[in-house]
Amino acid sequence: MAKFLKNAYLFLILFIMYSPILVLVLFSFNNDKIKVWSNFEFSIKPYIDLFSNKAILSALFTTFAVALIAAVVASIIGTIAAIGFFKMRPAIRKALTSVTYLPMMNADIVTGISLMLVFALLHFASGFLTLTLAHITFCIPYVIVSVLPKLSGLNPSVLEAARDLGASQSCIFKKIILPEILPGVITGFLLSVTLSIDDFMISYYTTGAGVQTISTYIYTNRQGIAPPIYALSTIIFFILMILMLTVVFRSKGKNKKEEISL
Amino acid sequence: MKAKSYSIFTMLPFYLWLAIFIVLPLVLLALYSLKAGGTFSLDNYKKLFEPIYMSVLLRSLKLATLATLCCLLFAYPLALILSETKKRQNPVWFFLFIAPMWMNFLIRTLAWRSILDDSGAINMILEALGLNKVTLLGGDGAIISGMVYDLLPYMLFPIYNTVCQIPNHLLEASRDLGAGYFGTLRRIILPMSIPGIVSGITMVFVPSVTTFVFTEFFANGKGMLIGNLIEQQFSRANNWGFGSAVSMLCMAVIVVCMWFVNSGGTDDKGGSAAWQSF
Repeated sequence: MAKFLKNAYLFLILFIMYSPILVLVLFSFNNDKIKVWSNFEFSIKPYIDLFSNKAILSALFTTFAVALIAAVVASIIGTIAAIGFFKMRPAIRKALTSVTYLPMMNADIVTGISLMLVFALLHFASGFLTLTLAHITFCIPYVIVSVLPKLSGLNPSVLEAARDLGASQSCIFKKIILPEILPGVITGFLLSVTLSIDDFMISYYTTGAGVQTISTYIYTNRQGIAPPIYALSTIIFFILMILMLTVVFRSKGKNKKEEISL
Repeated sequence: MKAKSYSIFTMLPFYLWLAIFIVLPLVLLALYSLKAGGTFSLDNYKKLFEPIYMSVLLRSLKLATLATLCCLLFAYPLALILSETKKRQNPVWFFLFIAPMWMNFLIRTLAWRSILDDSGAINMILEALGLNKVTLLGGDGAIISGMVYDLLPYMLFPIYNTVCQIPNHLLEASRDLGAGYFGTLRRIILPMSIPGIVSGITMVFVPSVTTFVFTEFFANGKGMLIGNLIEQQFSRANNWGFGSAVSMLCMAVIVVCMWFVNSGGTDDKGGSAAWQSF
């Protein structure tokens, strides 16, 4: 009985979470002139419109380009920072991390507006550059947060042994530190990509001159939502599902390997 | 010494970044908030205390608190149930619930709105059943429902991570000593999940207080919340000073709330416990 209730709850929440998205999927196959259920007309027109809609396509490109660049740069800067933090005394580290984590703790709107003020001060024209700089900025704390725990897990005796055996700083970094923290760096990277694609507020205030991300595009066109957006949402949804299936199969593969090796 | 040359030389780009993109923005925000009509004054802050603006603040806090509580109420049992399926297909279930987080925030908001819309899914079903249409958008309820729908994964994620990290032997011991399910829940799971709850509250409360998307999408832009107020000051009213002051207030409110909540449980890795088993 308890098991039934638990499963029911799971499915209920899943249903509530996914039905709006599935409705969007359904609407994406609707002929765009009619919105009512009874006049539903199956059509792939929204998808065709999507691929000829320059505004949406460029917004899509911008979104992914910014996400990728921001994630890479933030991962590099964040990893260097994390290693630097790790070597500091706890007191200084705590002070610096509190400041560094501010974009993470602050409301997006505050971060977005304050960055806008800086760009205005530095006379940077709002556009792709300011957008990317802003995204890098809010991604760095998340990379640091992902890498620091991995650094704490480093065995100091291994480092000592390496130094005793004559390894140089860069060798130690490449052969010992980097492999250990790599999972953390990758986590930080993926987190940055996710957050960057998902972001709206910060992008809203730091972009300009016709540069749009998917989020700002949807927001500017929120009054009349066009079917091509539904088509886009459906595509994103299916990519997500494929990613998830990949994860599922990989984890099942791992489980099988463990079973075999036992 | 090698360590010192790392610290200063290699960290320089980072320190520069810190100064220009994290410290400077907030300094500028503070300075702007003190500028009213060309001179330095606290006028902008005094303006904040007018009843109309105080009511905006209170309404934002009220809605955000309700949304956060709802998220907590829905997500906690979910986290408990999910962590129990550990022996089975752990990754599958978990990712199913987290996946919406990877879909764009505005697409999710759009999806929820199109359900509540007058010509949306719920009303279509009502029509098909022969009942009257119901206007669901426009009120506080719609806004809160939108917040909960958008932000539930953010509450679920940290709580789930924390609950999963509770060592199994503690739970077994508790049951061996005679505590039932609820006893174990109250004495072990709940206290040990507090860092996750704190993380989750942070990640839901902050966006719900400040995001103006919710009123735009679920109440047609009527009825202002703090996010809308700030947005308006920077776009239409062109009063950057007052807008900055409201932003500073926002920051202060959030810092106070977080300090309040955090005094219940912290970890010295900078809140990373919740992200550790990502």
